[in-house]
Amino acid sequence: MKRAVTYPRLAKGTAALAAMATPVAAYAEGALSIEGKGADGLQWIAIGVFLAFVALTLVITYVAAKRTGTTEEFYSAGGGLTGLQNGLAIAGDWMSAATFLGMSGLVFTFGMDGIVYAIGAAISWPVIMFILSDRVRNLGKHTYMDVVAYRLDNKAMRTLGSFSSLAIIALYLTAQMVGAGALIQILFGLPYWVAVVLVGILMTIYVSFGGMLATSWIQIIKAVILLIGGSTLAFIAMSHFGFSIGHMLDQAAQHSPRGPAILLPGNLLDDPVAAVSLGLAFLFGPAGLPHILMRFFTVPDGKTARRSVSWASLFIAYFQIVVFLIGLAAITLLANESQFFGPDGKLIGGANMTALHLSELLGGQWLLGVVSAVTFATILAVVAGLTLSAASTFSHDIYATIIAKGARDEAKEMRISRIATVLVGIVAIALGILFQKQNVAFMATLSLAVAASVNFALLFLSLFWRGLTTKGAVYGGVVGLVSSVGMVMLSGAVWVDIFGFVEPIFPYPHPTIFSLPLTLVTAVLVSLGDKSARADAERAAFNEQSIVAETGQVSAQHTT
Amino acid sequence: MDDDSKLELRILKRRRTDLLLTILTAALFLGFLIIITAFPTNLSASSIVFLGLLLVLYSVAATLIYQSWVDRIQQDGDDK
Repeated sequence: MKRAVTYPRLAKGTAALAAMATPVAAYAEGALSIEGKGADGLQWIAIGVFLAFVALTLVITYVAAKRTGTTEEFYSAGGGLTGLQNGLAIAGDWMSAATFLGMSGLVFTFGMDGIVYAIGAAISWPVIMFILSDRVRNLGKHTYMDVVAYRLDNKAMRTLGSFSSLAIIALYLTAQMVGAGALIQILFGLPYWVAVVLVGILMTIYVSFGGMLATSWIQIIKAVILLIGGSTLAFIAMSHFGFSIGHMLDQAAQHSPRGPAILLPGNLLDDPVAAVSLGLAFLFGPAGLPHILMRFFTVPDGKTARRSVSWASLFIAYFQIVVFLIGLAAITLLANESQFFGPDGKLIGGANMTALHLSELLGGQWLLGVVSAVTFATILAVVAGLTLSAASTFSHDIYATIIAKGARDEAKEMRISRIATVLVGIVAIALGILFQKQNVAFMATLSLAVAASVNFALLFLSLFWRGLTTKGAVYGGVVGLVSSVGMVMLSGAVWVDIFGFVEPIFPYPHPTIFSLPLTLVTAVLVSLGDKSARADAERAAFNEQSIVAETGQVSAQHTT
Repeated sequence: MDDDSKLELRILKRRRTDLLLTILTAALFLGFLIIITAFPTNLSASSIVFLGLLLVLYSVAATLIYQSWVDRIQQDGDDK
């Protein structure tokens, strides 16, 4: 893999963030070299567990399909989930296979810097709680754009929001599909394209038949088995150190190829500006991810939405600690196990295989098989959530609101939702196959940057600033979208790694420190300069919006 | 003070609190990032792990306490 010559750590940082958000995206190339690694024992155990999971999810989909007859049920499971159920589903959406594999690999490779990613994955949830949660639930119905468009121009905001949402989902989904193909190729010995098609077909079945209800329950089950699987591995690993973190740290310093430096920050993050930019993406990116925001509509009220976030925060924080401990233990436990290292001295399959190698070492083929299947299950669940979010954008925001202008035909919208799901599935398969040989690491960076710079920024301003007008929101959103995409394209992850130039034009791997303020400043300045009558009406509607956001009492004019 | 005014006050109070808490959360995390990247050798591994755990615990505690607080002020508002 080509690296930026002058910015090696920044390039690593990009790949690392990608590894957090995309399963095996960062090691897709390396992974191919160990095709067929899975011994017969692994394959049969993993296939057995995996088939059991698929069978269970198909039963769930069948049951859910019987209960999914309206758009309300398709988009938001009828708003009938409890706080705990939705919290688990939200946690499941965020705890992708990449969080498990990518972060344990980061800690294994970069030591203390890995903890930044562990904290980053947990720290966005208080922000989501303070700024969004019940407000999004009370103001919206099916997608987050209902919230932004509440007092602003419906057509303009949904057009902009659809662009940014579909861009985020496409980037996220492509990275997931490429990662899924590579992972399944390693674990089950299937050809890459077969793996991608298999994932694409399963996610299309889940979503098109079972809608949000099936997707939520698949996510809940996956979250539970991932929490149990991760905890079991961490427990076994920690037992080798007498359950002492201090002992783990001492041993890591002795066994890591980096020596005591593994316990110091700076192996991955050494520039405060790049670190703050990454931090902003972690803080505000998740609050702009459409498939996460959509989860707030699956509960009956704002109070339950807040409970969902509390539960999600608890599960995610716990899981981040578990994964950090797995990576830390692996530094010592894998150090002298030469069977897991290639001739070049690097971990076979790349650093993201850390948790899988550790499970094989500690529990043999059985544990490896179970952990592998659990990992695959997490991929399936996450891509299903993304697919549903994309389908909802097409059918609810583009068709029902922009094309049909709110004159809703329930049956037709349901039909379009299902057609959109199939189309998204086909596109996802095609993108997964097309990008197989590409380094897709930048996609995760870009999706979080766009989510923070466009979706979150507009949600924040529309909820907290009376002065925001449609004109300001559109200008701000466009500037945010163009600047975040442009800066990533000019960064080392794309300009050097993909286009092959010697030096990047944009010197940082993460654009959020620039693109987020650009969005906010543009939206504010343009709104302040907007003296139109429509702008006055939009400002005047802020009070009513605030009351609905707080109380959930919907006024008559917004019931459709 | 009538009910509408009380509701408006509650909304303003909550919005102000939300902004302050968000700024605090961002400051804590970004401050941690700046410290470990600007002064990488000034903190021991144990200190970094400890601070990291504190931040993770903060994220959980903040959401739980905040949830209880909003539940309470909304309940009080509804009762009145």
